[in-house]
Amino acid sequence: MLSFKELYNIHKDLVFNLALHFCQNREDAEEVAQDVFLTVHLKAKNFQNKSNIKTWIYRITVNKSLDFLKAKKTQKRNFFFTAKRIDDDVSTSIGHFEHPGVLLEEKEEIAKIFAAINQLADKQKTAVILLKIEQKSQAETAEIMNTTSKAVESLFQRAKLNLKKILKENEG
Amino acid sequence: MERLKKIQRVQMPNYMYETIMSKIKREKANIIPLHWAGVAAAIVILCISTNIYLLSNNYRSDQKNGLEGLVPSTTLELYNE
Repeated sequence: MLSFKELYNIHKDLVFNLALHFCQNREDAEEVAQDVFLTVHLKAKNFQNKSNIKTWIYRITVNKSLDFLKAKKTQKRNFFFTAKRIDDDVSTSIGHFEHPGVLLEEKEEIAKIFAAINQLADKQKTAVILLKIEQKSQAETAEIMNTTSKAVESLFQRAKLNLKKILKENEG
Repeated sequence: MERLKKIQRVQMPNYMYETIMSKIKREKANIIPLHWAGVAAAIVILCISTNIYLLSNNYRSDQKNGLEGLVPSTTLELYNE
């Protein structure tokens, strides 16, 4: 079994980048990364090796990112005490898009795509991010999401349709 | 969606390791060792059991006194007038 420092060094960029795809800004991605490695540290000893450790860490990162986004949405709603639209948060706003991996010339277009991705259901969002951005295969994505390849394909097809619909609405 | 493939990989900042280790140390400090939790639980159970025992004893003795109080003394002595 590798030490925590070794695990960290091997997987830090993987965790950070995946968190960035969900959160789209450095600050939030750093917070998620901290939570992920805290969990890895606490649970590494109990890791049963049912799937490989990289898949396990991917899974933790996905779950922590989704939890973080949910908590952020709830916080904003409670703080303002208004009938704020549930999808009207910073991460859907193109003006606040700050993903450091996106080149300046691509920023506007990719920001629109991410604004649409952010409106998808969690599982569809995860499928799109793992398949299209992380460029995982369907089998790898299915393992991370603890589901079947068929289910991943179905999720991705629904996500594609929803994204087309959302992007059309946003343009119109 | 093909544009998403152009997103570049970003490196985790170097300071993050220290930040994470500090967070881990803080979490460890908050975790109460299991045997101390056991001791605390045992003390609480003991207090509650003792309380129940004392209360039930008091209740029994109160009941006895109550009955005696209700039953008037039946002596044949007349009051001295």
